[in-house]
Amino acid sequence: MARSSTENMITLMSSDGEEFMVTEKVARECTTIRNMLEDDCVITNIPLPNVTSDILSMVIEYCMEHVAAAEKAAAETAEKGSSSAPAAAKANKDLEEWDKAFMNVDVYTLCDLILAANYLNVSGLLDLTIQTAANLIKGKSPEQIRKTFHIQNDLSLEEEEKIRSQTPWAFEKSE
Amino acid sequence: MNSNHTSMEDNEIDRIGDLPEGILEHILSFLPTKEAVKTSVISKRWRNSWAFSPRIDFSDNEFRSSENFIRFGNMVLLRRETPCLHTFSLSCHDKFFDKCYFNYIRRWINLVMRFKPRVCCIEAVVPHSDFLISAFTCESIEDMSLKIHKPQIDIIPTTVNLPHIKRLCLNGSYLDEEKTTRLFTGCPVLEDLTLKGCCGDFSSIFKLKKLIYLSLIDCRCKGFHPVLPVPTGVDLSCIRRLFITKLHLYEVSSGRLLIGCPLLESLSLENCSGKFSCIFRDKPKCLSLWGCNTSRGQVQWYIDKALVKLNSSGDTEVLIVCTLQPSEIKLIWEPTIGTELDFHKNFNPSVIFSGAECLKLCFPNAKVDLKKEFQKSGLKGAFKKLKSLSLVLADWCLHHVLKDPVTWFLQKSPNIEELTLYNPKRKILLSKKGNPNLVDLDLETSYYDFISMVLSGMKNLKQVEIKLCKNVFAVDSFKETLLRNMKCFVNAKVVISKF
Repeated sequence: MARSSTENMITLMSSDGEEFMVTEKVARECTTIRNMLEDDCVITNIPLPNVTSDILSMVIEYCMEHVAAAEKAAAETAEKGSSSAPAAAKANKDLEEWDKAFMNVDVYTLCDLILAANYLNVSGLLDLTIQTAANLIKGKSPEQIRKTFHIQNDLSLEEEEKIRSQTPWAFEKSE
Repeated sequence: MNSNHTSMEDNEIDRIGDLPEGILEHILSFLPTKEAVKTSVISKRWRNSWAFSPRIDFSDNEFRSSENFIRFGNMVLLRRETPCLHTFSLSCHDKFFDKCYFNYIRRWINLVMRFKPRVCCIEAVVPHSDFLISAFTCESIEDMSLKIHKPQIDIIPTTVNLPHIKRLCLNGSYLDEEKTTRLFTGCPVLEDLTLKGCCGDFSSIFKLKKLIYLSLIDCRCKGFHPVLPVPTGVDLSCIRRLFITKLHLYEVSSGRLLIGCPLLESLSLENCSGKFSCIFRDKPKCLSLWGCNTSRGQVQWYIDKALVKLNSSGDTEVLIVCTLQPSEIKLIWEPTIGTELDFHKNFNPSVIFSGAECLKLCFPNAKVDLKKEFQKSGLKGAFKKLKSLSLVLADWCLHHVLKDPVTWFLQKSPNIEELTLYNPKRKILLSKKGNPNLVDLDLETSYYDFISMVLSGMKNLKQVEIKLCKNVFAVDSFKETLLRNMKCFVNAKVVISKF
């Protein structure tokens, strides 16, 4: 309790000029920011020109949720001397459910989140978003994938035919 | 989630194609290689992206014939554009059997190991022991999982050199003493070992000082006996978690094993049998004994934040001894019909349950008089911490209607927030000959009346859930009783469901 009141607050500024006050612990979830803080420990105001406020608020939401979950688990371990396996499993499941609900976004937001997670280097969020994108591709035909991600097919018919003829086995239907 | 965005308007932007170098390739690495190659016709940006994926994932199940699978695999390996490989995964089934096929598979494995993968998963029919030699001598591997379809085949090659391997999972392999020694000498930093469906001699495992996790799942010792012999001088000085299934442990084996595991935190025995009373002397922090069948004699069960589910066919005397006061207790005892559950004379439920916040008691078939246990301990103390209570109503808690353990518990637990009562349809009566008879258990309405009365005094109650077995005769009359008493629980939600 005493720690949280003395904890440093960091201001993150989005590309559209909005400011977000977060605890240093939350900010440190982003490896990029952690490295900045380690290089220059008095820094309190960090501009993030590559991230819009909408996306930054989502990244912060993700980091806060994961920091809170980790703190809760650590507190339980400290209180009881050891973590109880069923409680830890439940906490993990709850966090997974939260992640799943968090990923209920459209493809544009998903791509923006991938970019932000990559830029800020939030490994958990990057894995989550990339897995979500892969799940959107899985089991779909090329045409369906184009529709999902709004991709214009810039290959000519001949080029497409050439690619298919180079790898016909990839396009056969399995039994 | 975005299937609504199917219209292709001109102003819609292709965001995924704008992602920086490496990210699309990263996304494709989460797909089986066949699916990743299929994306090459999407657009120019996607055309060669699959060839940069840090993962190769082949499965012959996705192909119609072995020829197509081989051509596909050759093409993928030939056209790879990056020397970086993180994961290699290969799954070959029994459906294509010919020598030529195995030669190609072997060539792939040899080639892929030159890309220095860190994770390697192979599921295959292995024709001879040196088939996987390139995998077993690949220095970059940190995590390897092998599933072999023919367990009689010796898959450990003549040379093993895996200096960085931390996790190894062998599924369906035959291991004799010489092979296990050769294998583990070649894995000097192994931390996590799983043997699944393996058969042979496991004695050298017990000397793996650096091992942290060990799982022996459905293994058999020499001669396919489901017994785990443990040699003297066990030295598993780093082991934290031990998981064993379907093996018999003699008392001497379990004793030797646990003496050699000084840091053990979690012990799970699933469907094991034998004598392992020493477990309770050493008190691992988390203990799970699912479906264990203990031999006759006294066994002491420590409950410490652990789920203890016992399944005994013998007339085992089960003793529950607990030195700590866990916050979550689930006590499930499912013996054969009519078995008595006797608690140890030192078992003091008033003390053990006093720290519990969440308690589930389920003794469906056993004769237990919990109230007697409480009375023995002098009915001291209340369960002030108890917030969630689940009781499976059965013979054991219903002998003395109106004075039964349920109402007694409730009166002693003023802070309960959630109460779940399971009411099974039948109870078991033993006939004079000792044959079990199933008798419908229709609880008297007055019983629920009484419970309602007790509950009405509980200010913190948030939810009462009564789970009635399908076809219980008394459902309607019980609902009436509850509705009559609804005013008593103004703050609580009442749920009546069937199970």
